[in-house]
Amino acid sequence: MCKDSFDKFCWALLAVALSVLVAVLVLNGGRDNKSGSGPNKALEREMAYYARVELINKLYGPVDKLRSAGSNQEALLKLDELNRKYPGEAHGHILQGLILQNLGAPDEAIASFVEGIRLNGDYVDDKSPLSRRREIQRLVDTSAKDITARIAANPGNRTLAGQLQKINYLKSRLAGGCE
Amino acid sequence: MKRGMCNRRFSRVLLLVCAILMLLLVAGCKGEGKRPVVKIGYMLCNSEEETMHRFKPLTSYLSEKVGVDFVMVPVDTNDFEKRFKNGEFAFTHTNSILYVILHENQGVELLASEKRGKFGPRTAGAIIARKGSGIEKLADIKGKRMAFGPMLAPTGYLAEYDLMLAAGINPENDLAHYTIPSGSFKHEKLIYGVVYGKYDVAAAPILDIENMTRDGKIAADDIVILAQSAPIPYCTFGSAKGTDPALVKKVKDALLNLKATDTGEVDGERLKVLKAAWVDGYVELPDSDYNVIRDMAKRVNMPPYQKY
Repeated sequence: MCKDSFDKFCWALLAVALSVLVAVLVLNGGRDNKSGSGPNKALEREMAYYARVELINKLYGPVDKLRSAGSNQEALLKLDELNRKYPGEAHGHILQGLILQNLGAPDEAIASFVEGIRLNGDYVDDKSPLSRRREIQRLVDTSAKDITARIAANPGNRTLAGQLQKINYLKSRLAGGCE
Repeated sequence: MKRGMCNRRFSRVLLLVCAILMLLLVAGCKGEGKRPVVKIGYMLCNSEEETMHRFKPLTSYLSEKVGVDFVMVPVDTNDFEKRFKNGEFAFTHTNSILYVILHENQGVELLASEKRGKFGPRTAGAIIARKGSGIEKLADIKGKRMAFGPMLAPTGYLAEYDLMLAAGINPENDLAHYTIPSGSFKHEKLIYGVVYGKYDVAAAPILDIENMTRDGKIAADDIVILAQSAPIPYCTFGSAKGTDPALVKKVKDALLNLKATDTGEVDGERLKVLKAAWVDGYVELPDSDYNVIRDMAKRVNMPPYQKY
C-alpha cells in the first residue's frame, strides 16, 4: 500500500481532502443553525396558516352573518355559490353541516361534517382557530343515540347502516383518530 | 358423375347450415320477446316530455339489471290513483304525498327514496317574498296576493299551507287572493312571479329555489324566506301490493346500488342514469319517515285523510 513515496503522497493528499470536506460540512451546518432556517420555516408556516384563517373568515363571513341572524336557508344558498367557486374547501362543508343541523337535517349535516373533516382535521382540533369540535360533538352524541333506535326499528336497512358508519367515523376523529 | 353428387351434397349441407342459423335467429328473437313486460307509472313533474327524458335511461338500466322489460307510463298527478287502481302499472314513481295516498288507499309499498339537493332524500317548502318588497315576516302576508304550487305538491302546497295554519293565517280568508299558475313548470313560474312582481308571496319548494340559484336563473339575494317547513321525504319509488317479492327485491337492489357511472341505453346511446334523471342516488327510508307528511295532510285536511 505504501510502497514508495508517490503512494505516501497520494494517501496524504486524500487525507487532507477528506479533512477539508469534513471541516466545510461542519462549518456550514453550524452556520445554518445560527441563521435559524428551522424556526423561520415554522414561522412561515404559522403565518400562512393564520393568513388562510383570515381569508376563510373574510370569504365565508357573509354566510356566517346570515346564519347568526337565523336566516339559515339564505345562508345555505349563499354558501352554495361559494362552494361552486371553492369546491375543495373544507370550511364550506363544515359550514354547510352547521346550517343543515339548524334546518333540521341531521343526517345530511353528519355527511357534510365527514366531507369537511376528511379534507381538514383542524375542525375537530380544540387548539385550532377553525375548530368546530363542540358543535360536531353535540350532533354526533344526539345522532348516535337516534341511529341506534332507528336501526333497532328497521333491521337490515342499508341506508341507516351507512349513516352509522359516518357517525362512527366522526366519533373516531373526535377521539383523536387519524384519517 | 362424381362431381354432380359432390355438388348436391354440398348444397344440402349449405341448406342445413342456413336452416340451423335461421332457427337460432328465431329462437334468439323469441327469447327476447319472452321477457316479462312490467310497467312503471311515472308521475309527471314539470311536463311529460321532461319526465320521459329524465327517466328513460333509468328505466332502461332497470330492465338490464332486473331482466324484465320495463315500460314507462307517464301519468298526470291527478289521474295517478285511478290509473293505478285500474292495474295500468305495478311500480310507481311519485312525489311523497302521492306515495302516502297510494300506501293508505291501495297498499303500495315503499321501495326507495330519491336523493336530490342539499337535504338528500328530503326537501322543504318555503314561503318567499321579493327582497325589498317590505314583506319581512310571515305575519306581513295577510292581505297579499299569493301563488301556490299544484295542490298535490308536498313542498309547493301542503307544507306551506300547514306553515300558514300554524302561524294563525287562514289561506282561505286572510289573503287578498291566492292562485295556482296554469300549465307546466308551475314552481318556476311562481318563483319568477315573485321576483318580477306578479305575486307578493309564493309557496316555493326549496329544491326549485336551489336549482334556480344554481343555474343562475335567480340570485340568492333576490328573495327573502319568510318561513320554511321541516325537511320531508320527496320523490319515491313504490310497488303494488302482491308484486312478485323477488322482482321487488331486484328493483330495490338495482336502485340502491345505482352509482354515478351507471348507464342505460336510449336509442342506441349509453347515457348516465343519475345525471339524466337529475338525481344523486336512492336510499332506503323507513315508511315511518313519511309520518311527518301524514301529520301535515291531517292538519291541512288533504287526501288521504280529507274530511268533508
